[in-house]
Amino acid sequence: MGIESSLLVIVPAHNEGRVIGATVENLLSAGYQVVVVDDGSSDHTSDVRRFPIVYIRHAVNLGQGAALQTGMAYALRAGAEIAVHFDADGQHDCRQIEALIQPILEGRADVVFGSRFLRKEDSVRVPLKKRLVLKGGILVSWAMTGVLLSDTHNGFRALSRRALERIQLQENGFAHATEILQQVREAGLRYEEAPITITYSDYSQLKGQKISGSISILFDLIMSKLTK
Amino acid sequence: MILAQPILVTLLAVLVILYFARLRSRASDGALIFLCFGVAALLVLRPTVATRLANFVGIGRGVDLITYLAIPGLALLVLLLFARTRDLNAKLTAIVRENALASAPVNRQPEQSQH
Repeated sequence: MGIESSLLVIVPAHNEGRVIGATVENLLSAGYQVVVVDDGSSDHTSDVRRFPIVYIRHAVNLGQGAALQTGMAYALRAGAEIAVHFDADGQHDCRQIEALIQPILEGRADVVFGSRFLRKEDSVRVPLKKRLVLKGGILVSWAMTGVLLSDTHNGFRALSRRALERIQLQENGFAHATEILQQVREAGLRYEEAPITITYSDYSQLKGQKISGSISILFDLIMSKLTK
Repeated sequence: MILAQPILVTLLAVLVILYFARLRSRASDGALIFLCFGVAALLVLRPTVATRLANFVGIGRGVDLITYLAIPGLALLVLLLFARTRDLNAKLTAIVRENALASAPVNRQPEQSQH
């Protein structure tokens, strides 16, 4: 086991009752400790409590950024050395966690961002429309934070304890993916990207971010600058 | 259109950028809102002054000048409201998070599964 004992996988979930059971089951059978942050779901997401996991519930829906921050706060309190962000909808592969945390284990990085655009075989899986939206998001994030990644709005990340101590997400919505870059830069954390595979199922397509979503992200980011 | 207009517009743009980059505070936002609406209200009461002032800065009618004053006032007002909503949201988040974490079992490590 070794490092796995101080590694927590944070799974933010809002109305993911249909799929979260399978996601959690995969993570558990791979030997990981799982924290599910139920972000005020109104479906049967809470059924996930039947598994041996830590289940934390927001009384009201706050957004994915808020759920991740709650998970990270828990990880800190629980003494985790590494926390991994992992989507509930089954689009991430838990077998890739090991490679994702490698740069942290080797002491090269504090934050590792999963990227679906580092390997050709991963990027060809991304539907064209999605790719355009994502590339737009990458440029916006770059313009606003000065950090250029190949894939910014990717929910698969690993953070060291040092990063957990320094990152405090304020953006409750999906704008957190850009905010985290800014905080990584401001805190002087070392980061790397690691190739990961996203599996696009009909379900994740349905629940995933759309163009309208990216507009509201942009709006959130601009407003956060203007209302500071 | 008068000759000075490009200069005035540039000056205004520089002022706006400077304001947003350096000088902003909640108090100054509030003061500017009062200033915009106050001057606009005074000009409504004195239409001839409004027209003369409008002509001076190269805007046709006094009413237009009043509109141009009211718009930034409204925009700042909206921004202030947004800021307040974000504050409230941050407080709500803090409460919900504390509440959620308080009921989470910190010491209980989940049972080890097969590996």
